[in-house]
Amino acid sequence: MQCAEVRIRVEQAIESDAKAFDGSVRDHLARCGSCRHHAEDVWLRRLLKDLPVPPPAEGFAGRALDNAWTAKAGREAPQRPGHGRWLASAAALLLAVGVLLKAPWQSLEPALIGTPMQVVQVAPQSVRQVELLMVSGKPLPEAYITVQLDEHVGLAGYPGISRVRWQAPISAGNNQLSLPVLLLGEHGGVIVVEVESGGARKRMTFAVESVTEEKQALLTI
Amino acid sequence: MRLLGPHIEIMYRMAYLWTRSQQDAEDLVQDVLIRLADRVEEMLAIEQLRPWLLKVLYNRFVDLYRRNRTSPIVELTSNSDAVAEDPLQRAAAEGNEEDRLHLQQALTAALESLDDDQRDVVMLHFVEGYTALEIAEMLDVNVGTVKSRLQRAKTKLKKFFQAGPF
Repeated sequence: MQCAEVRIRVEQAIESDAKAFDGSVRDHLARCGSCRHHAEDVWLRRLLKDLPVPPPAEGFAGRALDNAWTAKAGREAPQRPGHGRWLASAAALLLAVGVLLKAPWQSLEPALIGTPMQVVQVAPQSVRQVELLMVSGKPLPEAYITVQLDEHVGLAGYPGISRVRWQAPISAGNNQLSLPVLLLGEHGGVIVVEVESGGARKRMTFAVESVTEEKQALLTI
Repeated sequence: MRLLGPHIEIMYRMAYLWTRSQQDAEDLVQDVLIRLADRVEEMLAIEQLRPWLLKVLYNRFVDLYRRNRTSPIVELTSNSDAVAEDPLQRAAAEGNEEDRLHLQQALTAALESLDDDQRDVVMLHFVEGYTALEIAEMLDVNVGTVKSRLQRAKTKLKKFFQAGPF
């Protein structure tokens, strides 16, 4: 039996027809290292292609593309001097000194390490821009930022997304991350922002508290 | 979107095979797409976009996951013990669904026992069908390195060949 025929029968046998793998094929493989090598490759390819890969979340491809283009638009929009950009550059980290949390209704003040959870007040079904100001003592060019949302909160423009992670360079000094926080129902929620760099991590958790629209209007004046 | 849309499925699949996590695979693909949104002009000029995308994806995978990973050695070593011979031989001989699942579990564990570099070329070659030369270009290594990684990986996976129908 010629090598070419053996290889065809090997592929038939492995893909569908075990009978194609008869004694003459086995004998050939026992003698011919090249064909055996080919048979092993076909067998391994079949096994690996059958490995289960769970599908991504429903609608992932569309959302991922939307996010990419939204982020691009954000990068191209005019930026306020000294401020970072959502999903682009910017967030910030205080690895050694502390974290500053600035919301529109607060004066800038340092949050003490170990302080109880910061609270952001948002009316149900409405969006409030929350700005996290974080300070890093040194530049962190390869930092990674993760925003994790519980089921009661979302980010405007990112429907159905409960976790976003991206890489962003962090500058020494002040960096700002703007989150368009959306309260989805009557109940409050929790948002966790984590920044990683070089194996170090800093996690900040803040609560989203439900308030009336009137109160939110007062807070955002 | 039309440019990248047809490639997202394969990007996710490769990301999953590398990260072995649905969430990490989605994060990785999302991260890459965000970066690529600024490179549309460059991508339009690329004749073979898919290998180029996989190269970008792979580089980000190394940046995001390999460098931050903590000590996989113990897990990989212990998992490799899960490659029992009986399920493999039964699966090869009988081919029923239960044994096929065992075979897949054992193969997954065996893949974990490979070095990272070996596993990467195995996935690209055997799952996606890229040649050693194409993989060499994707991973920025020479073709001899790819071939030797494939050969070493196959040696480690030898018990699967022994359980094969030949």
